[in-house]
Amino acid sequence: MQSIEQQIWKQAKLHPEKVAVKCGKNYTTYRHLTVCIKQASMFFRNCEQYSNGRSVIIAANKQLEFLYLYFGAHLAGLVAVPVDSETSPIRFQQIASEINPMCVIGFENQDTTYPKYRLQEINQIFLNCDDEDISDYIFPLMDNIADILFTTGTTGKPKGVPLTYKNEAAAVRNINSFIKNTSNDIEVLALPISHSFGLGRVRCCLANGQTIILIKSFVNTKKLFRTIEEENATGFSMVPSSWRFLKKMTGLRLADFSGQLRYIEMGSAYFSEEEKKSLAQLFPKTKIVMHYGLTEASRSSFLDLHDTTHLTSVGKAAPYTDIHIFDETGEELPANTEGEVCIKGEHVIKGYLNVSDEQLFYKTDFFRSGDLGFIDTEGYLYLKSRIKELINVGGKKVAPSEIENIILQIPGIKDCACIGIPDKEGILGEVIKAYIVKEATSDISFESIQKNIETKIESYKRPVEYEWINILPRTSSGKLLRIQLKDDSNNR
Amino acid sequence: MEQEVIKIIANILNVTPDEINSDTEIGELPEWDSLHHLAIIKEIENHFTIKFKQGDLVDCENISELISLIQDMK
Repeated sequence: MQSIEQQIWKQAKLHPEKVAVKCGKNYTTYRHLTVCIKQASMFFRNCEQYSNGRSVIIAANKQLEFLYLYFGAHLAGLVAVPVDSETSPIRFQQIASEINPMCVIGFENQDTTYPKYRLQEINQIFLNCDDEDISDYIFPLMDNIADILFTTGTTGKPKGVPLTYKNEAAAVRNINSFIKNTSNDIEVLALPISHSFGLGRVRCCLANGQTIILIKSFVNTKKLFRTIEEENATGFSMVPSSWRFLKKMTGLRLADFSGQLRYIEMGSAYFSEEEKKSLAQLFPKTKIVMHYGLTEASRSSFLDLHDTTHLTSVGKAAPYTDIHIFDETGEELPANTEGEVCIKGEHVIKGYLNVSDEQLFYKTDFFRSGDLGFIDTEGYLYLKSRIKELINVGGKKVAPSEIENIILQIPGIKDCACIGIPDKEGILGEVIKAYIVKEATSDISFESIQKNIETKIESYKRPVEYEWINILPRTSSGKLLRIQLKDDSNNR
Repeated sequence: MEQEVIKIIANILNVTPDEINSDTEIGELPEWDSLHHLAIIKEIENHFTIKFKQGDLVDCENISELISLIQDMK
């Protein structure tokens, strides 16, 4: 197995002038991409703070420069930490203090003591990248850490997920061997690249010698459809909420491309059997692959949406992956018995950053996903619920305790609990509802709570519904029973 | 109408109105994601007492095209 960087170099030798990435009016060929990556690597090595193995936070915007810097950091022996440029100041500080980065790129507005570089000043180094040399480079060792991605921990504090070069290369091998995309495919990517799914798509395409076209988001539907048409795109990816958004805004317009799109990869979030059926009917000849996975174990199972008899499952284990079900004592369970979904494979992480006291694996190398489910006798995995109480807002995970802790800081509020409720608009899957207990003397309103948290948390984390409650249900030891609130809410 | 639409968008995206003009593309500002877009559409519907049907917005690429659509619906 070779690192993604080695595979990009291989593609550059095979077809140097082929377009690797397009972004608006800008593009880079495979040859140009390798040259710019080398330039970025030199930039990092020349930084005053440079030392091998340190980390660098890079604003994960859909720009060619992001990709140069991301891969360039790897070639310089650095750990890349791609972070959404719109991340909140609190989250940014938490991430920075976890990794102590050598520098921060593209976060002009974040207040930080770490050395900062603006993207505009770094862009200069890519202006004269006309070197034709695609000679080999000393690539990082496969067991070294390539990236740290931050996910939402159950406490709401970002949790660092270190991914090795081997993890990332194995995930790409597993995905591409299931989807069977070829170097002739052209993919349009509208998903964010600060997350595992979107960035994973970039790796899959570049390692495969494809052309990938980066679109800012799904919002500008006219531009999105025009790009698919003009570029004759054959690959596309989305999460269930993106599909619902496209349907709401444009009806079934995406299906106009059903004869053109060879594959669509769908991200993991709740997608009903009806929705799966209807999407499969709209794209009768397209391979529509829905994955189940976590940042810690990217794309662990795949379901082909044309496999119409198993649409309530999340499919079978991905190639080169084992999924088994375990009970809470770490004993493996037989078929059709519910327990914790545990995943083994070269794409699975070895552990979290700065966390050592959790039992992450059963039987040495079966990673505990935190999801409950069972596997039938044919090998299909069915998910039932999550052990961890995370809320999934349009594919983005939110820890209820993060929101509760922020609301509890507001004067006049005595207690608070947040749960996920179905999105009435039918787009995001779940949205957040807050139950609030106020002090007897307080005249606080929901509007003032909304106003107060506006600048403290990202918009998708803000509750869309509020309800006053006299007392929150808790166990005798004081543990919040969010599940009871959820049941009450569902039964209304 | 242009200023009213810009004001609605700026409020929801939490930016100043001078960061937006009629040539601004939908989704151009980093803050303008699908969540914010849904909020913008809802607020425009409330403010101008109109209701977009599925597919109405497919041809809007920038704010001036959005304004033309609103004018046609008024």
